[in-house]
Amino acid sequence: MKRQILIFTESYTARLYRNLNQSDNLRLYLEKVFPYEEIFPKGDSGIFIDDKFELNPDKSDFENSIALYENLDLDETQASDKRLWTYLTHVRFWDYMNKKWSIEGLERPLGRIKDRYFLNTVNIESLSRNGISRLWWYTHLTIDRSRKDPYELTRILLNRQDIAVGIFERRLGSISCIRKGILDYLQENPTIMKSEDKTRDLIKFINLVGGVKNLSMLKLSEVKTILDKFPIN
Amino acid sequence: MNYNGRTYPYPVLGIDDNFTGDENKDTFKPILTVSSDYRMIRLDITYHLKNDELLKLINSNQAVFCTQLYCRSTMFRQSFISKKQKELIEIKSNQLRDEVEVDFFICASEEIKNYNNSMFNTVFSGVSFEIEKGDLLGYGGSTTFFANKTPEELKSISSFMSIDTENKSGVPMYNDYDGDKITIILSQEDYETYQSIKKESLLTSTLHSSVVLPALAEAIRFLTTNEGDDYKNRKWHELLSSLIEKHPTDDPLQSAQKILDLPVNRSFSTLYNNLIKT
Repeated sequence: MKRQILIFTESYTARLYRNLNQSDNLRLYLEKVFPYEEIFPKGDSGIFIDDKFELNPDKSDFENSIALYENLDLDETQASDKRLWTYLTHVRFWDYMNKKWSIEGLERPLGRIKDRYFLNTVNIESLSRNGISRLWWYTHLTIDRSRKDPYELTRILLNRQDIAVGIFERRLGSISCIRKGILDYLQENPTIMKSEDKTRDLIKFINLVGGVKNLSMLKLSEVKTILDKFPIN
Repeated sequence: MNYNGRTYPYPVLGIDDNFTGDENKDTFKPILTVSSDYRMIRLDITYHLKNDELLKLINSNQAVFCTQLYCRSTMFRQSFISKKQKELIEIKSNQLRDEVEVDFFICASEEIKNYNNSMFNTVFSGVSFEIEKGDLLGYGGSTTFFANKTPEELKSISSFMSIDTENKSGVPMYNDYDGDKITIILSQEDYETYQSIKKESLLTSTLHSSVVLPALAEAIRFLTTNEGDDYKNRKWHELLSSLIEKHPTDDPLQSAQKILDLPVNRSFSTLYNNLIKT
């Protein structure tokens, strides 16, 4: 049965983040259930998810990303709401978070908690770091329903973590034809895809081209023509 | 995005002194008006261009006017091209959230061999360039707007400040700048009292004077010194910066009073009219 997702209030989300300033509160992230104040998640988010749906920390990011995307129907403004993702990391997907992004044994757990459990500012970098939002956005930004396998590019993106980081740590990654052009190019050029250095150089190359050209007005085929000029050796 | 600080391999109208007679950067001047309802956001754009050769390139389909939108919250980045000097762009409201950056360009829509312009700076006179599709030929500057927010909402203090507690007793109030809003942190007992009196309209201006005014003055001081530089990407920083620009003074306390519409005066008037006069 589908059930409406509750979301934290804005002030409670800010309070949880502020609470991290007191080191005693960091141990709460080792609890079996996160001790949130139950009066703060409010109803009527208009977002529903199946009761039985769970993310599996033993499965790959690729599998979890597609599973979440197929089960969580959001538009872009809902998917950039920090209250939603903070609720999902602390409550609905706490078990997953606690295993996938556990702070156990970390000397300095604060960075991981801030990055993976919260979304302090909303942008391409932070959305691709929050433990749950990253999974949804990875598929959302790479799904291509015109392909036989609509998740073909998602698979390439998540083939290695540095590919996703390289694309999403730059504003360039917000241009659809650039994202898809790079991933398509990597698929067609396995020599480059296998090399972290060459992949990084490829992304730098297109970033440099964007210095004088308005890349967002180009078609995918035109982006690929530019990428074909990348010196492979 | 900063397009001004870049070095281009050919002259670009609107960048530095690449073109003569463009000292005021008004040769290419787009005008934007934004309106919205719950369903759609509409951008009315008029491109004013006073360069015959670039106009000729546009009329012959070799170049286009281009408006690029970038919303970092929803990762929306798209260019809208036009040959017409007046253009209407419509976008679904659920694709944009908070601040949207807008850049205006003239871009090549095809390869242009031997590109030159009689208004090139004299250092380029007699030189022509090879231009590819997408290359910037003109830059009309940038602006921002806030999706789905009316000017009234953006002016409201609650759009960038909130009040909360950290459950500590007997401590002074302070500002927390780490979130999208500045949070004024009160002691536990002050917060509880605040919760019980905040709905009393008689006390609104007094609350503004005693709590919001000092917090806002401190926030303005924080923002206008180097201390606030680490918070430039916070929503409160953007909103408060634009309010300070509209109420310019050198004194944070005076700026804060202007933004809050003279709360001390309002507080005294309300208290006098209700406690003394009656």
